[in-house]
Amino acid sequence: MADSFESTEPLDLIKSLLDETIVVKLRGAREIIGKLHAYDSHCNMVLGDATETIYQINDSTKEITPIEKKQSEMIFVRGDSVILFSSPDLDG
Amino acid sequence: MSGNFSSIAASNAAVNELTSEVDSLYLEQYAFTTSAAIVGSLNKSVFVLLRDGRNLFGILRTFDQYANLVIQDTTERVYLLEEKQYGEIFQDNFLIRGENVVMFGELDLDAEDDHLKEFTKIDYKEANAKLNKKNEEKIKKGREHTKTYLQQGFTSDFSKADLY
Amino acid sequence: MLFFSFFKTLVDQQITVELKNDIEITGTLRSVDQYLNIKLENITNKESIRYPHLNAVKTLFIRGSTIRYVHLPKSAIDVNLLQDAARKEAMVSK
Repeated sequence: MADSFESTEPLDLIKSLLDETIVVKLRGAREIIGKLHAYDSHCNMVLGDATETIYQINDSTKEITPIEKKQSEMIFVRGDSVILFSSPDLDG
Repeated sequence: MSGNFSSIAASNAAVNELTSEVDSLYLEQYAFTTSAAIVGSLNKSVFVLLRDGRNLFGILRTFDQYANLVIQDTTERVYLLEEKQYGEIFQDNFLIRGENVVMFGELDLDAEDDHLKEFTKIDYKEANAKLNKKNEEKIKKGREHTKTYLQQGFTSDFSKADLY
Repeated sequence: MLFFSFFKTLVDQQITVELKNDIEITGTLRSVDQYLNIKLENITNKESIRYPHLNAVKTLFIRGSTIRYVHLPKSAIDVNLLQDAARKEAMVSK
């Protein structure tokens, strides 16, 4: 009986996302969408052509609105801010 | 006889060159360390920004690999940006635990007080009291924001320890 | 180690460090260490209002743990090399 199942840790699965566009959810109600160029076990990442979205609170109405902040041609994201990342929805 | 001397001189030169090559390799190995980044600022006038928002100005005397710092003859300066005021107090020496440092920098002695021209100096206690009040409001707002975010499924990054 | 090596290749480039308090500081990268603490020179100061004394600063040491982002010049980076290095690093750490 061949035990062909190799235990994979979550970070192994992310290898397949290299060179793909991903969405990263960050602390502080932020999201970044960009092309994953590099990552490590701390979830430090380098993303290319990235767009950051901040969800800001309107103090008077207590509404949260997403503000598309800025584009960055190449951005290093420090891992301690990362909550999760995944491939984006097919309909953007 | 002179032949011996010149060959000794030649081999000495070769050994010196080898040693300096080894030296530079050794230094290259340590070029990208915390200590290497800080050692250049030793005995220079520096400012340190702490995570609680305090600005300390003094002379960097020692440090270690964790960026713990010893600053001598320190002045703590409180800036009130909206009111364009500042307050100072002389605090002697500080040993700062590295984890509380946001950033520190070497000051240009000629220009270090230039920005103070646009500020009015007030009593330190008064400045500190005003700053504490501002920080309290910041914390209160941070807490409210955290609550609103959490209620709507977002997370908040606010910490009352980080007021810089 | 991957990003430590990565930043070493970016020494002498102009980068913008964005701290966790939203402040941005642009300067020339002079040094980095294993904790990704960053040392910058020739600070251009967009944030002179928040930190008025920053105008007189020659070199700035920024503690890695306070950094949120580093904005990098795309031209200074070989993307394919970086991706390969990330793949290798992923194998090594397994």
